[in-house]
Amino acid sequence: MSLHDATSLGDSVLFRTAAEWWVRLREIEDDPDTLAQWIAWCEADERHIAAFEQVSEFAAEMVNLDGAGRERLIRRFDVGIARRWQYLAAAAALVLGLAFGAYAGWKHYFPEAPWQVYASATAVNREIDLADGSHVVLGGASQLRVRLSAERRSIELQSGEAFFRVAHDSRREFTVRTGRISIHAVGTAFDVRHSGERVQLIVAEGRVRLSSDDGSWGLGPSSRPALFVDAGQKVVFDPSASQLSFSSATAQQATSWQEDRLEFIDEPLASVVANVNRYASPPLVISTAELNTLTFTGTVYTNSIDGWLSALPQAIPVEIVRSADKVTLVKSDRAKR
Amino acid sequence: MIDRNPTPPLDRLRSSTERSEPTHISHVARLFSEHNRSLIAFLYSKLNSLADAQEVAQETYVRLLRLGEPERISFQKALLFRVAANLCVDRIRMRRVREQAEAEETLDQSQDRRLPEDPEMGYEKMRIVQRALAELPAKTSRAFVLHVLEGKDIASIAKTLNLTARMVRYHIANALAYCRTRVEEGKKS
Repeated sequence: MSLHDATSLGDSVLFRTAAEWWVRLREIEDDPDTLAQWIAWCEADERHIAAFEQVSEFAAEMVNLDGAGRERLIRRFDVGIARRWQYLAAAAALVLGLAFGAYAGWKHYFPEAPWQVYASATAVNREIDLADGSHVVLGGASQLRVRLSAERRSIELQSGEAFFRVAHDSRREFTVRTGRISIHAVGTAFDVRHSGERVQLIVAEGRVRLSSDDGSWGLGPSSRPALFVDAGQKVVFDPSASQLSFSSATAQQATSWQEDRLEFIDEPLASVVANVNRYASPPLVISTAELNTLTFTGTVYTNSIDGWLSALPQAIPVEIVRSADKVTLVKSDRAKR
Repeated sequence: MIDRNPTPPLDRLRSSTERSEPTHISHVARLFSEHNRSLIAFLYSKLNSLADAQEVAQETYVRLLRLGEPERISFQKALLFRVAANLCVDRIRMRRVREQAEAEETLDQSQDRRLPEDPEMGYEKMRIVQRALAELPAKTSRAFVLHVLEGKDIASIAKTLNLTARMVRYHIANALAYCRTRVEEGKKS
């Protein structure tokens, strides 16, 4: 083995180590010893810090990458993003195929202040006035929590549906977080429906900006271009169906539930049932897994859910089985063995 | 070639802390001469901008000089790095807030914005990086792209890829070293 080979081998080990240090230093907030160890490594040999500087230089170029090149790499090597979404002004429906991983934990970056929790009972819509002047209408069996601070207004819609009319305050962004999505508004009106992992957003007035906590769909906190949703737009995030879709919707569709009409367009039955259950007693249960992904389009009047159930078998292949404590939906052409 | 060891701006530091004791200043000066290179390297790896790294380093030294009661505080490198790390976190947070605010204001423009000081990577370099990532195992490239290009944190990547955090770091480091080596080889040819 020549001297050159020996040097190359040593070099590759050196740069591999330097690269590992670069990665470890990225999140040292979790481990203070790492920094001390890194300093010791740097001081051990001058080639160490030189290698670290060179690796950092390359890494910085990659981190700062922008434009088409960045998009191309993301598209090609992150299987989770098949196509980079681009915002279109026209009210066209877009569907992106996306693969999702498990739910990512959410880190609390907010200053310490108590959360104010609001919940509503089944079949009861509840109106809430927030301290900043914003107005929220909470749907049946829904829950959200609110934290207003000097710097920001944070809402977490934990379940169900809520319509937000956000008081204008350019100093404090109003952020509604539900599922893995955050909706940022300055002064606007929009509806959010959260069922399972599926989130539906309809903007009635103004404009909101979307982001996701773990950067999925390329919607990191500093994503470029930023993803905006305008009035008259509806966005559906459905991780289980690998779907991110855009369509148009009227402001009225955003608020029809406040007038006892739940409107669904191509909604998976599991989601329909989850939402109807916020107004139904006894609750509906889907017994056949296949039914979950059947899509349903129609209107459910929350004060005549029975009527809807009676008519449902005409629209989709289900049988309704009623018992004392629940109503079960069973697939109707299920073979009896 | 980036000049990582500029002449120490001690005169400027001195004038900003007229009330500091002479021993105080010499403590900080010693820290500077012994550790400035690693401090800048550390800050650069966090901030990905040499200008920002130098600014934060500057602020760090100023802060240390302003710390009261120099007899009680022994100026160790741990303090130097801790102050710098905190300033780093603040700066990154401020960056995010500023980017969000800018995104809110400029509603109509297409958002293909780039920081003025960061040049776009050359076309040839990009091709080499792309080829290098293709040569690596899929999980390795994906972990790299998720963290370095999309800014996802290690914990969430670990969940996405169903790996331990340690393995995620391992993959990212592999990809980083490999792509860099490829690019360097490309420069030589």
